[in-house]
Amino acid sequence: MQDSSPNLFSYIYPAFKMWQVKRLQALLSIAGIAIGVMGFVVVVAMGLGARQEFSRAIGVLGTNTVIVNSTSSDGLPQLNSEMLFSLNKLMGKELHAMAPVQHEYRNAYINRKSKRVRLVATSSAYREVFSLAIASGRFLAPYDLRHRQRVAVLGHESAMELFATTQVSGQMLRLGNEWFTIIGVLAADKLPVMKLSGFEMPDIAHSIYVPMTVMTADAVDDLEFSQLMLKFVDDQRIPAATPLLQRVFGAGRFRQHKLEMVIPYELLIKKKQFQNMLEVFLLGISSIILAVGIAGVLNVMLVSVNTRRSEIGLRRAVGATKSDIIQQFMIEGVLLAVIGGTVGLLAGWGTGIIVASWFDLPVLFDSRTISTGFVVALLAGVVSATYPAIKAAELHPVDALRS
Amino acid sequence: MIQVRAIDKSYTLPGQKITVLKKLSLDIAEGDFVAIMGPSGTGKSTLLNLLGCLDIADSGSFILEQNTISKMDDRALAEIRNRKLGFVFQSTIFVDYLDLPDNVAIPGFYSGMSHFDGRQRAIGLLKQVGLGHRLSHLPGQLSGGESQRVAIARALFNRPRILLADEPTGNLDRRNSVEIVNMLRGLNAEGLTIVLITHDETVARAAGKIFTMQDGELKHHAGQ
Repeated sequence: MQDSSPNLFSYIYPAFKMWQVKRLQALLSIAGIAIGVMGFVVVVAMGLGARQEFSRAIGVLGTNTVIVNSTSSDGLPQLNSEMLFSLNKLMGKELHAMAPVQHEYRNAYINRKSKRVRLVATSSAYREVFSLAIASGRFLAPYDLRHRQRVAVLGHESAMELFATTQVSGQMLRLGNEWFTIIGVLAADKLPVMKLSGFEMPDIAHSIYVPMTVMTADAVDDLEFSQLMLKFVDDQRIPAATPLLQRVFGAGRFRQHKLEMVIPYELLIKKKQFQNMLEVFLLGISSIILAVGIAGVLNVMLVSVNTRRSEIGLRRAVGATKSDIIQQFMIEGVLLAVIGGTVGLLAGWGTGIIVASWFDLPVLFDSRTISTGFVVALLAGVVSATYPAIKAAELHPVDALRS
Repeated sequence: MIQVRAIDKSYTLPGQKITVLKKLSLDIAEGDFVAIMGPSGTGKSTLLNLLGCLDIADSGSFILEQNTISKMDDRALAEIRNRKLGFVFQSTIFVDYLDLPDNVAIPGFYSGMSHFDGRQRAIGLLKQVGLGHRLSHLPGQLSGGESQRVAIARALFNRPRILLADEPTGNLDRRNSVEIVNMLRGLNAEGLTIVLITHDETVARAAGKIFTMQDGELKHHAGQ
């Protein structure tokens, strides 16, 4: 005896034929699922984006970084070499690296063109603080600072914008009125340009790094600077070290808002908490929209069962089992959900791009986002089709034929 | 072929129980053309539903080609309806969004036939009933007589052993009625067993055996 179970095409083909005739019914169902899936996709993409940004930032900054900034209204640097000596003396063993930083903007001249660039005057320890990788050449060395070498290290994007290559070691570059020899280029890093309250992540790829000593006429061991990056050996030491840091830098300066202490990890955690709250809020809204969508599809399917009673009776009379009828309505519901889910995924992708650009929030679309969208759509299809399918199958053939 | 013994069937409505069939017995042999007549509400359609395995009797036995129908589950009954029986109803029932070949091929969906093979067979049957020129039409575009011919084509799709027709000419004019009756006669002449329910005595005369239903009981009225 041949296999008498209908093949999948026997269910899909009539479904599409029906939707050709009953377009409004199909469109309403698809729209309900699409809106719900779109909401879910955006939330998942935002969640993944936030997590990725968080882990990248942690990967670069670490959990053990403390930044001291000059915030004096007169713009004068509030930090100096003496403070570095004191810090080294008091807590040298607890510190992995200390990098003084002074920022300045200058014009870089290349091929008769000029480009405004951000100069980071610092020491060799800067690389250790941010765990920077080198694409070519080398980073600043203690020798460069001691001997006031006019050398420069380019961020990856700076090198690409100025020279369109990273193989530029040995070339000369005019920054303002001074010429520098390029000694290296940083590798392309994935540090996100993040804004945290009170602290902007350094735009490492777009900066140019020069020895701090070439920017000033001060003695090599008597420098003034506006920022100090500290990397602790162990992040557990930071809470205990904070009062000591305040003593070294002068508690009064912090009170007078001439200095501020930033612990990026704490800010990252706060930002992540905010993003988590936003995710929960949006997830709630998406769930409500999806529930409304499911209710809409459920209603459309129930109406469909009622208007197709004689069809159900006919199918039962010519050999359909209860299970065949359940399969038919389930496949119709799931098909609508898959179509709605696909539309929702595309709409969610578009909305994600808008959210990312308007609200400056990281959004990530990958296989997890797509699979979540499809799983949500499938579940919505199954949930909304199950009851109407059972109702259709439970119709007595004689009653259905009499309709 | 069909052996019905002392079957009872009743329906429960709020506050009352209505007995439709009382200890009804009936034998139908292979190749018979049986007509069942009687006024409305006497249980003709109920009997046809039982013979068509669409419903189960409360008591008694019904054997169809050595299959004891009263002991079968949903799947086995569906198989019997699909393989052995063909139905023609008074009000033509179609899937309104499918064209004529797809409508005729519906029994093929449930016997595992491919869509292409199903359509080919359906087109052959539609040509056989004189509707070869309306293959791309939807059921809503047909006249009453044409609809009933499509219903016969569908009933014949899986080459059934028995054709059950419930007032197939009830909604037709005289000319179309004669056409449908002639078609049934022709099928019976080819060996198909037919059970026909009708009000119309002239239609019933086409059958070899005529029974009359009265108060849930069946009386042999005419024929061999």
